[in-house]
Amino acid sequence: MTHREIEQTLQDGPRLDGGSRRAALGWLAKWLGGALAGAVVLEGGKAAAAAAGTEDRSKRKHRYGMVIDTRRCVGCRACMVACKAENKTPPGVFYTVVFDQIVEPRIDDKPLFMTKPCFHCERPSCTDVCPVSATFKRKNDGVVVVDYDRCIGCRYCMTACPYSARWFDFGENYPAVEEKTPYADVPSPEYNQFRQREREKSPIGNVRKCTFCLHLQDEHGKYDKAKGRWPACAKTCTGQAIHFGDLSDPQSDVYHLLRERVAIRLKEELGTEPKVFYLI
Amino acid sequence: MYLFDEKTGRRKFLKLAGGTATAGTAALTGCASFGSREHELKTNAEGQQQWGREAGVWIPSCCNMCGGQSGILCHVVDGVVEKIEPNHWNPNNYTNISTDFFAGYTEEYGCAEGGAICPKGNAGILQLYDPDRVKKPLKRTNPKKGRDQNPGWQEISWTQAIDEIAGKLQALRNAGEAHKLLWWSEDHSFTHIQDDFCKLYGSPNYSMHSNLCDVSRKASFKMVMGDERPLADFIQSKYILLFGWNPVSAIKWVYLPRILTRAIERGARLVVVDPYLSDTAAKAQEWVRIRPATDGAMALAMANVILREGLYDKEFIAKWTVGFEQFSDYVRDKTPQWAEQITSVPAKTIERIACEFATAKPACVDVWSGPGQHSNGVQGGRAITLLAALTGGYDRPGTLIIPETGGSQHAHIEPAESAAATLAQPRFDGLKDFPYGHKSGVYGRMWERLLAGDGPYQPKMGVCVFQNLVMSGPGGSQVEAALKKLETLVVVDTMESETALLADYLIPGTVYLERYDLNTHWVTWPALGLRQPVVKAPQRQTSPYPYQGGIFGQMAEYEFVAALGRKLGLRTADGTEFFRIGPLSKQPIEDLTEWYEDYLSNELKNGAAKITLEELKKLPGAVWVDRTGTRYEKYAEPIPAGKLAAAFVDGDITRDGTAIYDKPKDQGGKRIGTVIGGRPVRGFFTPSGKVEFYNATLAEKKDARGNPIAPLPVYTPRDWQPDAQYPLYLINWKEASHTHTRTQNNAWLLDIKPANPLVIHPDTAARLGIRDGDEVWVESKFGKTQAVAKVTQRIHPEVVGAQHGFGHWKLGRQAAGRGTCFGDLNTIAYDAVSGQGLHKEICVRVYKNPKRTGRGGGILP
Amino acid sequence: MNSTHAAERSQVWNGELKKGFWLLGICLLLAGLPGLWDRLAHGHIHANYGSIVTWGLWVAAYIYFIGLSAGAFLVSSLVYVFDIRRFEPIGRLAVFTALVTLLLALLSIVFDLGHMNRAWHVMVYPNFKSPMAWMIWLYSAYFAILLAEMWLLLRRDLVVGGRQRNWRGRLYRLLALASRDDSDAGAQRDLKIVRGIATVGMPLVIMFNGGAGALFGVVAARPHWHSGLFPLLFLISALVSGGALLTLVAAIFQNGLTRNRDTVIALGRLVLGLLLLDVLFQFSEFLIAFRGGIPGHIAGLKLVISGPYWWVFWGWQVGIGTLLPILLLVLPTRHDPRWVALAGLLIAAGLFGLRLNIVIPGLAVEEIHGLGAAVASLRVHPHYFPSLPEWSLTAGIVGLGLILFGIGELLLPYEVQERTSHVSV
Ligand SMILES: Nc1nc2c(c(=O)[nH]1)N[C@H]1C(S)=C(S)[C@@H](COP(=O)(O)OP(=O)(O)OC[C@H]3O[C@@H](n4cnc5c(=O)[nH]c(N)nc54)[C@H](O)[C@@H]3O)O[C@H]1N2
Ligand SMILES: Nc1nc2c(c(=O)[nH]1)N[C@H]1C(S)=C(S)[C@@H](COP(=O)(O)OP(=O)(O)OC[C@H]3O[C@@H](n4cnc5c(=O)[nH]c(N)nc54)[C@H](O)[C@@H]3O)O[C@H]1N2
Ligand code: SF4
Ligand code: SF4
Ligand code: SF4
Ligand code: SF4
Ligand code: SF4
Ligand SMILES: [Mo]
Repeated sequence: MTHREIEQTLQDGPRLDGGSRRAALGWLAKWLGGALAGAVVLEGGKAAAAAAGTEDRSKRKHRYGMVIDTRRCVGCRACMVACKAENKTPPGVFYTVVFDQIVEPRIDDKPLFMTKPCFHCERPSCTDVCPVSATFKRKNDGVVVVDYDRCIGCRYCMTACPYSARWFDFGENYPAVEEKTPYADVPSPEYNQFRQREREKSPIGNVRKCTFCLHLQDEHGKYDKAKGRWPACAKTCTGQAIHFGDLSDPQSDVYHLLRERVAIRLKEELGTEPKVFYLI
Repeated sequence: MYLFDEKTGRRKFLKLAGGTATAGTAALTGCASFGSREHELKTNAEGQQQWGREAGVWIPSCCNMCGGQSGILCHVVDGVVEKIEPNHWNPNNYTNISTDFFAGYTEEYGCAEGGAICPKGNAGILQLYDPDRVKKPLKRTNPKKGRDQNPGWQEISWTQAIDEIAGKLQALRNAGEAHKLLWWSEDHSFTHIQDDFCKLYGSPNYSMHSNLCDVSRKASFKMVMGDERPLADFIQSKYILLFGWNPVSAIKWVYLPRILTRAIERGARLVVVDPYLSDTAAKAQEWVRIRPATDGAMALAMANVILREGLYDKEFIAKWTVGFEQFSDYVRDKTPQWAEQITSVPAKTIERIACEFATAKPACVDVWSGPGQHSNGVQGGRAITLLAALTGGYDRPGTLIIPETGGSQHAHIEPAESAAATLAQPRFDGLKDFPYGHKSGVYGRMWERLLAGDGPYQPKMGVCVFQNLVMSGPGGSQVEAALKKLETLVVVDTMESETALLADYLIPGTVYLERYDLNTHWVTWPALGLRQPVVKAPQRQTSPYPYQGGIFGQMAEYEFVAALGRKLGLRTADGTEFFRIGPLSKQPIEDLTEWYEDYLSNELKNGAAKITLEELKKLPGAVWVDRTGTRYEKYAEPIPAGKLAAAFVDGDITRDGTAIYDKPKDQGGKRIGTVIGGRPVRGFFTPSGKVEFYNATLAEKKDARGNPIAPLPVYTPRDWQPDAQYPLYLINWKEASHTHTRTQNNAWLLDIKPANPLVIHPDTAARLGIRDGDEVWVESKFGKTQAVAKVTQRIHPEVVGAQHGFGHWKLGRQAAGRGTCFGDLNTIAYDAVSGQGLHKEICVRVYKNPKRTGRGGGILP
Repeated sequence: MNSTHAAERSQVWNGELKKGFWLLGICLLLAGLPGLWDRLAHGHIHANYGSIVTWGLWVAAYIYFIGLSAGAFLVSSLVYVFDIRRFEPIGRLAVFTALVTLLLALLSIVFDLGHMNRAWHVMVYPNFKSPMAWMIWLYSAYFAILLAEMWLLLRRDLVVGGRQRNWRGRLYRLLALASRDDSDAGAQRDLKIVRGIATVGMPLVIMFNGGAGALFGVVAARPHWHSGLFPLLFLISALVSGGALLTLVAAIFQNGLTRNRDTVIALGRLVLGLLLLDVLFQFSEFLIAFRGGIPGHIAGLKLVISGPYWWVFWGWQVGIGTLLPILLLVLPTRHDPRWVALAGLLIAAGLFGLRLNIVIPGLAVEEIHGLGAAVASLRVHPHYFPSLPEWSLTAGIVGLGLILFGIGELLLPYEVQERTSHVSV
């Protein structure tokens, strides 16, 4: 690429090749599909169609999702720490986790890095098992949330999520909080609830999960990158691997990427329809 | 089964029901739910107002969790740092070339895509609020020093601390022994004032950490192309060849992961030469599994192929280099087959990579600590960077760029006459003996001399600021023994480090969120970011002098230094009391913080930025960026007429090779160019003004051990080689999760990396009967230590290795006892040309600890 | 062997057993106090489950106890619905057992909740798609049925007993809820109602227990659970465990070694049959998984048979809980109620292993491989072994159960009085 072309690309935004990489797809899909039967691979057009959504989905105001570029992810785990810093999650609770998985046929145990927040599935298997309707998918933006005041802490939803995206808050604290440094006063902004962490009080004893940082939405349910109102993990990502946005907004990065690149979702066969896609 | 399948009509009905229903009908609406139905979550408007993003202030600053100095934005509410985010105005967070940075840059937002910060940058909050921090000055009561000795710390006041330490310094000075003060500091933070202090006090022994870090790379490049630290322009490159450099994980600058992966995305091929499949190698198309410290041989063989195939840049070589013939002669027999024996890299691979590298345009080759922290690192690095010379890979887009720095400038000071005698004493480490020694000094030489009691004199006092000498250098227990020889050791640290454990006075430092610094950013054009206090003591402190104070009311390091200087009444040659009179305002300033603000303004005014500290604070993101941006092929730029007129020409201006200085050499003139092709141009800052395949001045020099130095990048095996008893190479590296030995008490970072298992190849492990997760002994001829084995193909079968920085016995409650410190398997070791600490040169044997067997892998401690 | 001698010995045995029973109950209850305190004072912080294995001992105990309850109830329905006389002497005991074990189940699960005090949310914010919600409603209904049934079965005896002028009389009067009718007709009517209720209760308890199976079975995310066989498996194993427990309890509290020895022996036969059926089901589960080759499913079963807790399966579940009792129930020992009772004990205990092996391996197979290694936290780890407080609380709950049985025996007229035994159902 010449200097000019680079400039051009920078101005046009991502215009990425979607060349066929079927061979690579095969094993990756298989592995990413995990222990279950092979995942369905969504390619270019199909992914875009899925992104555009069905009639039902298009009624929604926003359809937030992520497109995570495994080629850009360097496994630094800044996303994990940024999420902690944003949501003030306690020890043992990680709304996103970075895998450095060794994909068997890859020689030399070369790891594949992949960050995994909650997928905010279109058909979440976590919500419908909740006996008290404490966790649900929001109509307006498709974000799957937990009502800390209603949740009884039965953890059934955790068993039902196929992606280990849910975490139980056992009540542990980091030393800086445990030992009452000034930082202990900082509440978590989650759900705009600004809860101070107190023993026996929610969210201790609740199941917690990635919220797509919805507390950063404005009153219209919109995020604003320029104002820093953007998921913390995406904001910090050193490889710029985490693309976030409205999957049904043709102006968004995520829409663009799904149209132009090859994306897969994990465990397609379960019918959960994650809204987090992986570019490979 | 899915919520999603609900009919819209039904949903509407529910909505209606929900709408008309009021409180108390939860049961009713609840009962109507089939599937987990949405309901309103409560929100907390008050909390939002008090703690939300709009509450409090966002203060731009610079990170210092490592030396990367990334820009940050700190959200401070109620005097508490609540969140740290990337600063998009700071190029250091995004890219190292200006076209990339300014494309879509706006004053309002900064760079279009937004910058990044690494995990440590995010975890800075816990560094600030670590409950194990040192909060008050501490004085040792137990005269015995050692790992197992409790110092018996006694809390003392700042006044007492300054009085007593200044008293000791004064006594030393009064006895005419000011040179017997050794001073160690970090390489970027508040270094200038420490340098000034030592000068004014009269000690030539100001040293800093670079000699533990990358002075061998600096030497290699300085020998070849006259610049200490060229920066690789990855994003515009088409072929990136890295030797022992792990930029996406040992994130020296946080833009590296982005520009490297983006280059690949834009079609570049990344090849990583490393005994370990580092996380960078994980992103590469090709990992070349090399035997440690043999990189030079591989580079020479590549040169052999490139020359044989005629793939070199003839034009560049003809015009801009010297010594090409000698070099070609030298590498003629350095065939890939020859190198295969040495490196264990197949000849075919070397051959192919050489051709690929030399034909891809632009291609870029770089080297960092991997080869550099071995005893043959300087020459090896030289051979590697000469590959760039062969392909014309300097200062062109997509190659190694000569950086331009210079937002600020350290103001030169002239110490008072009283300091002259001791300043004229030789440095204790004999830095002069190192032909490519760096101003940072040679720690290893100091330890040797302290232990042996020789050297030009015996130092009596040491001040160590922001360094963990005991764990950072090779030969930890010998460093300890050496430090114990000092009569007084003062350590300024945020934590009770292993070095602090030996201190007579332990002075609490500030975390970067509590203090100032000017940060020259390592991008290819001038840029400078401000670090400023984002949190501070509730009130200004008053004793012994007024100053702002960090969260515990402690002095910032520069205030401590200034307070000592003031107490000692140190003066410049014109009689000014340096630490009382504002260097810019020339007025007495009582408050130490205000004095330092004036000091920094002075440096800014002196540099290219030409602004004051207050003006810098007001720039977007508190970053000053030169808008002219990255310039290429600067070596070919003519020296501007104005500059030339004032310059000192060292010879005939019409003759090629004549050196040009900004002022006469004896007045400290700095080289600004050379006459090349009949024109005075910048050229390269080597003796010849050109890139040097053959370095004639080296031929005349001897290294610090008195051995001759090859003027060609000769491959010699490193000193310490595996043998029958210790058959394995032991190397180490950095990973994104931690910085050196300083972040292992940070709970968030321990979540992502709690320990450093010993990585070992499955074949080797099988031969030794070691399984993943087993506890093993690692033993060298100097000592032995325990580790947990991690069995993976990611490493050369002859090599074991681990992340550096773990195995603390102090630092803090979280850090102590985690993972393994390999320092004691080594002895004091430094390179005799550059003074580089040799951390990666160890040979060991590994055997199973029969009492403990595996727990089935995983990374849990 | 002299039969009177044997009977005498058995009497002694019975007495000893009861004493032992009480002692054990009190010990376990005491052992449970620290666990209870810890749970109340510190919540879940000392529990060893985490976010991978998120259900542990308490959930296993819960499904174990509901299994026992359902099994006992179904045995009682042999008497009250199917009119099988042989088991009549233990009819009330069966209902009582169902009640006590259900109580234990509820206790176990309530302690497992993150917010115990919000258990009522299930009633006011129900979600009809949640098997857990169904289950809770079903067991609420079931609880009501058990209470009603128990009361009806005891009513006449309570009325009669209430005439005594002592604390017992007062207690009985209280429990009789103002009922005065001690006529045979009344008792007959009671039994009719019981029959009605039990008939309704049968499908309910089948649904309820099948529901518990479904609670696991519907979780498509967990191949180890996600099998159509699960509801049935739960049912069968419930029957086995309930029957086995009843065998034991009948032997201890219902003169099972003496007067009702035949009942116990018959129970033993019943349990043997059920156990064999259960083995068949289990076997088919293994067969399908291994031959079907679904990796997640195999991974779970592999954990069961060769994971770190292989001994739970081989030693506890197979050895103690299956092979040994089968032998006892097949060999001539099957004619001695003591051996049969022992077999009951072994089966009942063995099935706890089964419960553990349902809950834990189902969770311990990482859904995305490498999760445990990706984060350094004991809460994010596929290994689970219950903590001391977990054991303690569970022991306490078991102890409570034992003591409830004891108290029941002391206080309640739960052996059908001779006088009324002619009342036909
Ligand atoms: N996260 C993090 N980032 C950092 C730092 C940190 O502490 N933590 N420190 C910063 C500093 S000060 C520096 S100097 C840089 C250093 O950055 P790097 O130079 O990348 O430092 P290392 O990771 O020590 O070494 C690089 C690689 O050299 C390999 N290696 C070891 N021996 C040899 C050899 O003989 N030949 C070859 N080819 N490779 C070899 C190691 O396996 C490792 O992958 O990182 C900076 N960035
Ligand atoms: N085996 C091995 N050894 C190595 C390396 C390796 O790769 N392997 N890498 C080498 C390299 S490249 C380098 S650069 C060196 C680095 O070595 P050092 O420069 O010694 O860096 P650290 O080990 O981080 O120690 C820094 C000390 O400063 C303290 N500190 C941190 N922040 C502050 C602050 O804000 N103020 C004050 N006053 N103190 C502070 C910390 O608590 C810690 O004690 O290590 C070298 N050592
Ligand atoms: S990823 Fe899991 S928790 Fe998130 S929506 Fe999907 S099923 Fe629910
Ligand atoms: S843990 Fe909370 S959110 Fe999850 S299923 Fe139970 S009640 Fe619902
Ligand atoms: S979107 Fe927000 S909550 Fe979710 S993983 Fe990222 S930072 Fe965490
Ligand atoms: S921050 Fe970005 S590059 Fe780093 S691990 Fe997370 S997704 Fe990957
Ligand atoms: S690389 Fe990370 S730790 Fe270093 S300065 Fe940048 S953000 Fe901070
Ligand atoms: Mo370094």
